[in-house]
Amino acid sequence: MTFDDVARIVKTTRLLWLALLLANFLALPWLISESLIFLITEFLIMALYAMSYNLLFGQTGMLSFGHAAFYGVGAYTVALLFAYLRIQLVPAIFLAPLVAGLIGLIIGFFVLRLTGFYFAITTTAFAQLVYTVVYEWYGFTGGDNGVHVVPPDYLLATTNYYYFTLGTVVVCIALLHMITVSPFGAALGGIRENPERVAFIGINIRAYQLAAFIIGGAFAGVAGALRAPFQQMAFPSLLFWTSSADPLLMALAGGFHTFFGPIIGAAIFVFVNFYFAIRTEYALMFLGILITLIVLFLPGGVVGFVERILFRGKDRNRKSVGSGGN
Amino acid sequence: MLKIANVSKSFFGFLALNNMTMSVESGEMRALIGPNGAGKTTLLNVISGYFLPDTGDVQYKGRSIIGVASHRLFHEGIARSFQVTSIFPRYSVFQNVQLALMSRHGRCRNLVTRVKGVLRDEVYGLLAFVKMDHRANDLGGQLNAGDRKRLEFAMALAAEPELMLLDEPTAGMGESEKGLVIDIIKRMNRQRGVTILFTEHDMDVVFDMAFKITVMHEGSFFAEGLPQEIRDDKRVEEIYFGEPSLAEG
Repeated sequence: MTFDDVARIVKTTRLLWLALLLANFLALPWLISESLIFLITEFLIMALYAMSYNLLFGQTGMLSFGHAAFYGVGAYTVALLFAYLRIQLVPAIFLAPLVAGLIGLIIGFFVLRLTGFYFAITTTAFAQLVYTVVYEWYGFTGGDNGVHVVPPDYLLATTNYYYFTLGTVVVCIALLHMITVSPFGAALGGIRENPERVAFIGINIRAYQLAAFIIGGAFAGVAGALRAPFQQMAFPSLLFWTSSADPLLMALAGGFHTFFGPIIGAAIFVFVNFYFAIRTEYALMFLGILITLIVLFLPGGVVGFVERILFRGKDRNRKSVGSGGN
Repeated sequence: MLKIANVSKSFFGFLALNNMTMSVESGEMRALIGPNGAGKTTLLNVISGYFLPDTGDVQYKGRSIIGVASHRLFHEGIARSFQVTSIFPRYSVFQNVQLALMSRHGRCRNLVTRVKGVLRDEVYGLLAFVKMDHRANDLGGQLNAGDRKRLEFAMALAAEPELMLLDEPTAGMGESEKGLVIDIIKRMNRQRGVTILFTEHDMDVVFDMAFKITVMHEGSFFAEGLPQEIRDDKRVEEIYFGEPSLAEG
């Protein structure tokens, strides 16, 4: 058996595992209660939100604190289209990423002149600007009352909405994966690895960062578009700066160096929060402690830690790279 | 091919380049030497678009390239290597070269194909040229100085460059590594017709490779000539060889 054979088997079994996982998700409504299905729907939305963020953070190396703008804009796009034009979720969910991507283009145009700390601060400022507009513009957005939105009849049942979310999220994650392993994704990784160097191999850093910003923003817009009908409401807190911290924390907890890490981060986020929320009043405090512990003691996140155990030999090589890098 | 005319550049009041003028002919290998702080690296940085000069002009193939971004110059056929070798340490040797090649061929805008086998034969062609094809799967960060430099050359060659700017190509290498790297630089020049402008502290390397030598001193043009002429120039000796500590680099 050659190395290629082994690689092929690993690859096919990986697909097999993914298929099994998907089958499990499909079977869930027969296995667990409706309230848990509701919770898992939330997890799926958060997973997509975190994954969309990780295209910027893990893949391109951009520490943005303004991702909530895209998430919120996606939610409001669906809600406002419903409130004013009675446009249903199914066409609207295709418009949400376009609007969120457009916001990404505008914000990115300004913030990508900056790097590092200044970039992070400015993304926060722009996201807060969008938040303020939504919060203050009572006549259009309803301000802190939010906008009421109802999913179409065939998606009203929790299970149906769950399947709709599952399908949308799986398609989006497949698209994100395709982008990550494409030549474009390799160029984004190059920017993360050595931003000085990529310019000298002919890559226009700002153009690629802007593209990542728009694409990441668009997928966050889809997550937002799923969120509003799910809670039958779009409200300004979706755009608040604390909401920008969510995908960052999920990516850190799950492991932002890995493609699937943010999904695990989202699971920790949603399920731990739920576990403590029904038992104590201090759910956020427990969540905060847990994530702090993970970041401190598992710097590669949960997935990074598991990988380290599974691929110990391989990992030693990687380690030496970290110290030998320039 | 390359004309540098009256270029000045200062940093916080320090005049790194002072009215520097020189030109490089197509097909030659030109050494740029001078004591530390003479402005050699600054000049390479100005040519490669990393710094804007305060005054003066840089012309490449008869056209001013002042203000042209580094990433565009790569597509125009100007490639460079760095004094501290700069690669993607967590990418494999193959991926390092592949990224440069994909960029040159305009393939980085592709979001739908798997990157894995893209331009595979071309990548191996360049790796074979720098004799690194046997290390294609090693990570960039695992390489020693000479191998890194050769990888960097392969990335630069991906540009199909007409002009290559090499900043201290043999810095920090042992003798055998040096020999390999010099051999590759000579082959880039002879077999691929790449014009080469390089800085170097090691005088043996300079005299071995250069067709002509330009000497800089305090940010300005000081002397120029064939290797033998520079070797015999007493004034050059005074500013350069007179200070043995500087020759070590």
